[in-house]
Formats: sequence, C-alpha cells, structure tokens
Amino acid sequence: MTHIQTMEALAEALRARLPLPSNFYVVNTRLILQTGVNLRKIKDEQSQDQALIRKVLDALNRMGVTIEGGSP
Amino acid sequence: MIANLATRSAYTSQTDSAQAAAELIAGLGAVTPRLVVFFATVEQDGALIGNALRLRFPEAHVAGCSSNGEFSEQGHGTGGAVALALGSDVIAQVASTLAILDDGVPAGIEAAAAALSAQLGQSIRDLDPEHWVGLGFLEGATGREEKINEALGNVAPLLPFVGGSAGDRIRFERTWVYASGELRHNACALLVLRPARPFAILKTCHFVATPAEVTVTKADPEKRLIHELDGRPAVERYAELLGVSVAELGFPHYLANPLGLMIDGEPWLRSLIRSEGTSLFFACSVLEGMTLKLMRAQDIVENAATAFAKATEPLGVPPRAAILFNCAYRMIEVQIKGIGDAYHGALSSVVHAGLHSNGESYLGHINQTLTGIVFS
Repeated sequence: MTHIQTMEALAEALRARLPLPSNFYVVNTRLILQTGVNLRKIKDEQSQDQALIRKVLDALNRMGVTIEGGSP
Repeated sequence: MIANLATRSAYTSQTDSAQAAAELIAGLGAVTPRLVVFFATVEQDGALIGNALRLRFPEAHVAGCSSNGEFSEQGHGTGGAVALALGSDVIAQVASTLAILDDGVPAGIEAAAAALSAQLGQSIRDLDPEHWVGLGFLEGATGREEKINEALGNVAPLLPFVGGSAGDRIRFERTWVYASGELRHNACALLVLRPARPFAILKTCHFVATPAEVTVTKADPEKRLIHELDGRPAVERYAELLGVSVAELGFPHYLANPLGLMIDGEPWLRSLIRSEGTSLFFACSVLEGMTLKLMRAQDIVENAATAFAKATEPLGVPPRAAILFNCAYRMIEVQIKGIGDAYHGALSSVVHAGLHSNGESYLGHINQTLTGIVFS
C-alpha cells in the first residue's frame, strides 16, 4: 500500500471513501474546524506539509474514518 | 392554521418554577408527545420543570437546558420558560440521555453514545443522516464546546448534531441540562431523532464577509486567545481593520465586527469578547494559520426570515415545528435596537421553542449564529 504523501492525495482518498457529497461535506467541515485544512481548497503551503497531513489523518482515525494509504 | 393536536409550544414569563411548570403544561394542553424540549432561564429549577413535564407526559422523552432567555411563537423574554411538544407525526423515533463530563469530555460523550445506541438498538455511528439528526444541549459555561463537538464527531462522524450551549445570563459560571429525569451541571443533554418526515437544518448569521482578511499567526486555541494577527499584536491589527485606535476598542466594536472563518463561501463566526493585553479573547477557538474575514452586519430580521424560508423550501410543505438556538449576542443586538418583536415575528410562522444560547453547534462550535432543526 502506498502511503499518502500529499494533501491532494489525502483528499482524493477521502472522496473515494465518502463518495456521497453530503458525507464528504460533513467530515471535511469537521476537519477544517479541527485542523484548519479544507480538503476542497488546499492551500499551497499545506500540500506537502507532512506534519499537517499526519494531523489530518489522525483526526480521521479518531473519527474511525479509515482511508487507503492513511495508516502509518 | 399552524398548530395541531400533537405539536404545541408554550411560553411562560413566570419566574416561580412551580408556576412556570404549571403554565407550560396548561399551554401544551391535551397533546400526546413523543418528545418535549424545554428551555428556562438559569435561575429556574430545571429539575422541577423537567419532572413536572415527565409526570404529565410519561410516554415522552423530556430534555431541556438553562438559557439566557427563551422564546416561542407564543412569546419571548428572559426569566421564564418555554416548551415544545412534538408528537409521533413529527418524531418517529427518539433516544435521549445525559453526557456526564466528570471524567472528561471524551469519556462522557462515548458513554452517552453507547446509551443512545442501546436505546435505539443500533449504533448511532451507523445512523443514516438522511433520516436521523442529533440534537445537543451542551454544557455552556466552561469553554469545552469544541472538545464536545469533536467527541461527537468521533462517535458518529456522519451524523450532524445541531444545538447550542446552555445559558446562564452570559455569566459563564454554571449552566444546567436535563434529560433522563435528571438535572446536571457538568453535562450535556444529547438526543438523536428520526423525524417522521423530511427535516432541515438551519444555520444562519446576518454577517457577510468584507474584503478585509487577517491570518492568525499566534494563538492559544485551548484558551480561545489570538495573540497575533498577520504577525502583529492581535488587538492592534484588529483595531486597524476597524479604523479605530486600540484605546477606543470596546464591546460595541466586538459585537458589530466579528471575524469569520469562511467554509465553502459560508461564514462560521468567531465572536470577540474582550481584549486581554495585546491579545483578543474569543468565544470560540481559532487555530494558527487560519485566515479570517472581517465581517459586516446585515439586517438581522430580514436575514432570519430569509434564512428560515431558504432552509425550509426544500421540504416542499410548510414546516410544522422548529427547535432553535439563538446566540446571546444576537439577543443583545436585537435588544439594543429594540426590534425584539420584529425579530421573533420573523421566526413565528412555525410552532417553535428556542433559547438564547452561550454558543451554537453544528459540526463544531460557532458564535453569533442561529441554528436549529425544522420539521415538516
């Protein structure tokens, strides 16, 4: 399994996990409020930030939302 | 005709809790509700009112919390109480419990989620958000709403909980919630509802973003403090945005000029409470790196009416009931402007009960917002 290296890849993996737009919206909003990352509008400086990617993955793990390539 | 035999609200300005309970029960009349929610100003004896409602409606779930003021289409004020009875034609299924926070927020929310799941016979994590919605009356005095909302998201990430923070006349000292026949201070009342018909979630504020924006460069989210904006002392940069001196800054500026985190074009407001040295103390935590817009107020009455109509339009039929959470800052603005009757009139096309809250919740903690659930 390939580990997620970019925020864009993380966003794509989450969309695959939550294909229903309303479900993606709910989880993405939780992520924005908890981490400051909007997976629909990723800032340039967030794209390759490995610590921030880890932070988002940790938040998803706490929610029990596992995504492919998201494990350490 | 907006009332029916199963859905009724009642309002009382009585400050004596026994009399308030009697007036609520009389006002609700001969209904057979599945759920009764009530809100009462913090000095009221919430246990007395809740227990009286339970005794009168033994087959209903009864839940409530303390408020900064309460309202329905029957009346509005501070010091009294309000209740809303929802029958089986509105609520098909309900579970309710207390989340007791004595052992910390995560433990309390996890235990409550287990209790709700046990009542329903299925995990709340698996509930379809198309048909289910969470309702939360949050402990509102100790600044833990972000943690509570995060914990709710961890136990049921796809299920939105809509609600607000219990009030205490905006003193942030002690609030109460009531559920399962018990009143608690260090707790939340949590419910999950399966409405009988389509429902809508309401979240609106009467502020729009201006072009002016700032980036949070130093903050202490745990303490809801922003120390620096754009690399400068927060209070200086905020005063500059408003075009006033630091010495001039005061509550009227904070009330009229919140900052907004924009998510998909929608503001999630962060309200200022006061300055602390060169830092700003907010009613909501903000993370370093977040970009916030300076917000500008619109007409609060027009916004409430428009937002209500917009939220309920997809229902296809006139809504029959609503549970509403209105920020205490909004209450103050309405009081200052002397437009209370117009504001509450804008909400009164539907049977409802609401409180002026210490904060609002929808997926997270927000400020200066009107949230709610509208039932068709």
